Amino acid sequence: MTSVLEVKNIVKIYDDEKDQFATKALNRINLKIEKGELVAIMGPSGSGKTTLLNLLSGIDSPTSGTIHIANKELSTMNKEELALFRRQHLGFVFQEFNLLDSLSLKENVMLPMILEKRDAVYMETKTKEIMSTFGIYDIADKYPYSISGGQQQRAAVSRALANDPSIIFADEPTGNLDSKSSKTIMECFEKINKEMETTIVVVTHDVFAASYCNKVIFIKDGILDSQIVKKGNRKDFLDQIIDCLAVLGGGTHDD
Amino acid sequence: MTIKQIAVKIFKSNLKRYLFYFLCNSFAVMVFFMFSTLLFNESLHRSKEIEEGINEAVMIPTVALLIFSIFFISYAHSTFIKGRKKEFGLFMTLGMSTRDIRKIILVENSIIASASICLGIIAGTLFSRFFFLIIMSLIGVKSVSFELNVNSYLYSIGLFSVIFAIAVAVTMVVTSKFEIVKLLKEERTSKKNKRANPVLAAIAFIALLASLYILYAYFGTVPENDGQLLLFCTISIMITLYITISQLGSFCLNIIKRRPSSYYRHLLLLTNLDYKFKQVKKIIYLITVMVIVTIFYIGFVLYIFLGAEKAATDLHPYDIAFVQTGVSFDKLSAVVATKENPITEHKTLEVSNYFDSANYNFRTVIVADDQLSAVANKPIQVEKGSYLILVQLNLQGKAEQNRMIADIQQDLPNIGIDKLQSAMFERLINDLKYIDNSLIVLNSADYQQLKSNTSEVQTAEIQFLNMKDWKNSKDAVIKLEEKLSAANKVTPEFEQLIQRRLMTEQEFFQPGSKIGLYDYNKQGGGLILYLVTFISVLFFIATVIILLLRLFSELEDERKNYKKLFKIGITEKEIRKIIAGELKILFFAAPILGIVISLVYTSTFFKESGMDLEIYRSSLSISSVYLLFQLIYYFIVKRKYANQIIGD
Repeated sequence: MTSVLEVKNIVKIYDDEKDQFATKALNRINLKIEKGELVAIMGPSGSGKTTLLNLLSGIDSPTSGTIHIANKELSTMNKEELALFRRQHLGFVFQEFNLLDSLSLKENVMLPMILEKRDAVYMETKTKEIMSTFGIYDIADKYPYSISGGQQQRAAVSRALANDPSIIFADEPTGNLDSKSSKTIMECFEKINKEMETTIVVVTHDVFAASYCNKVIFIKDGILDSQIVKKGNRKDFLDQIIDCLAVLGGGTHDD
Repeated sequence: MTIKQIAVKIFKSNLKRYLFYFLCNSFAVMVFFMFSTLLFNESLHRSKEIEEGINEAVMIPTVALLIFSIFFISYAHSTFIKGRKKEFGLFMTLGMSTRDIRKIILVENSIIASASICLGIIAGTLFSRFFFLIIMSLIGVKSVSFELNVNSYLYSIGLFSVIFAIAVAVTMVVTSKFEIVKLLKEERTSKKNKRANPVLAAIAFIALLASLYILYAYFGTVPENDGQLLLFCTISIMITLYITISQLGSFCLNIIKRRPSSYYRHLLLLTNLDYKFKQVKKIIYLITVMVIVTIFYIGFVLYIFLGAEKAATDLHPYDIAFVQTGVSFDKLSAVVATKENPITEHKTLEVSNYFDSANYNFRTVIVADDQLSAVANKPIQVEKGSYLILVQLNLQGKAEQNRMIADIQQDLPNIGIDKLQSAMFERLINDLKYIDNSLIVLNSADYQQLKSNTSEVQTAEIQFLNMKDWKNSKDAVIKLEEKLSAANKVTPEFEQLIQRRLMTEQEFFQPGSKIGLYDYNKQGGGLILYLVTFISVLFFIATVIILLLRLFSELEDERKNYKKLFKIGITEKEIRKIIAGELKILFFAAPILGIVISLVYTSTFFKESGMDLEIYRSSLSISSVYLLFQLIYYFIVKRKYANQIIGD
């Protein structure tokens, strides 16, 4: 197995401009994610989950340490190269969906391909294929504000898949959804992970969502705390995650 | 917490929105007020030269400004209400009735409207004075005085109260259709145009072309009806133009949508335009109207300016020319020449005034061919025993020229030379009251003989001077004039001649100078010049500001959108490209459309005048300068705006 994502010794320090009081958001994180994995990163609020995800996706840069994705080191790239890298190799799913209101669902899904200047026929077929997989092709011409949150998030997942990314990052993908929609979205992730062997990293608070993953990594106060791997069925894994979180301390749902 | 405190809190958090609305309104009031100071300026109405023209000259900008006020305020109002709809939705969920919402709208709008009328009028009062001074120093017209008329205040307050009342009334009606669910989503739903109606687009476009054609073809045919024709055509052009822009715009968008490959390539730009089209079309329309007025009037100003200079140089080949009698040239040249502005060329022409006692002392001006050649810088030779007629007029038709020649021949005194060699119709020497437009040119030997043999001849010298810089020769000419009027000697024959011409002696001996005519023309057209400069500068500034207001009112939304795009991997370069595309349409579509229509107006007004080409040259050069300026403005705004959106 080849590793898609390799993080070595990353440290992220936020300087406080006022009184030089620096905050260490991440402290010497090491991480390796293999191709085809579906990994959840969990931890209490303020543990550095979002910081980590921002670093991994190149939106922010680490104070020290290296990040390799698909054998490319992020720190060697400039802003423009990072933007290109993001749309060619990474897929994103956000808590607040981040769909453009001015575009129909279909156009939203196409957007990364349009930026890549793909051929129109190719885009049409590809979009149809992805959207049909998630059961939203019949609403392809609707606009984001006129459909449900679950449908919007499925469109966002479709968009993340548009350029066949090496890895998909999902930031609290179920955070704005009800449990039924959450279930649908996690099933979507499961499906693309199994059928297309896409590597997926999900940052989440939601134990239920995490239980769909093969592996859960816990971080606390900017340090990797522990990790567990799914062995049995989802129900057992769910119990196991809840136990771990109890040990880890800090609120999960109620913070 | 009381309701009042909540209201104050909401106001504070929405300050930017209120401020934008308030400033837009104040701006519209200010522009209108400044224009009205012009409209009600007594010195413009009192003046004879403008009296006849004023209604027509002010017609186009008045209609344009009314449309501007209505559209601009309705644009600002709808932007304001739109931004507040989410809040209204929230209030309604918490149990507010439609009546309460209406009350809020009414109170808020009344406060903002009265405040902006106040600010607009105060700013207008200050700026119109300032504006007046700037224009005065720009064009150097002294015949207009600045006035603040009570009518300006009354009309501004009255008109804007009505416009605001209508805008609010429309919103009141709309509130009855408020649905909470829709209100909550309002900010996100697209501001898309309704699907374009190709038939309506075609009709509007044809009607626009027809109005332009009717204006062009029939203006001037029945002069009494010109005012009405102009008014109706202008109104119809303005209305059809709006329908054309809104219908054709979305029609084009729909057509592009049917061609997926090009549609997808420009997806972000096109959807962005489509998404905001309801407002974009208003802005494009407003700018088009402003540009029509600006280009038409600036072209006109330029025409007057260039015309003044051209007329001055056409009528006066030499910078200064004067008749010298009774005082030495050295004394006169000492008055004219200064260190900064010395005399660069000096030529003299002797003229003989032949007073024909047989013909009521009719005067004929006679010159020698060699002297005239030297002054005119071109060879002129007259055979011995013949004469040449020089007419310094540009007579076009052969028949008219022949009539002129016959007239001169009829009055030709008996000087023993009666063989006409030829006639010249050309301006060779300065236009002087002293000599007529026609001269008789003789061979120099004949001339000398005539001079020495005939006692009826009185000779004088005309001096021709070129200066280093004729535009700076005003003081010199004034001093020269004083000196001449004091020194010139007048014989009884001349006294009779001057009387017959209904002139004063000073007028008769007035030097003919470029600067004199130049100033005279500029002053003569001064009122019109002031009027058109005022209008064009005012409208031009309005265009610049509309664009800025429009862009920066959208800034926040744009920033949010591009943030989303950035996360999925759009490069800065691509963002800049999309922004540039959108700005290009805003900055150039309207000016180009406006320039085309303004050219129709220009040709309508000047089709009768002989200097057709000159006015087109003025209009076209002003259009190019305008586009150039717009280009620079575009690059600056593009940079600033993109930087604002991208952030750090």
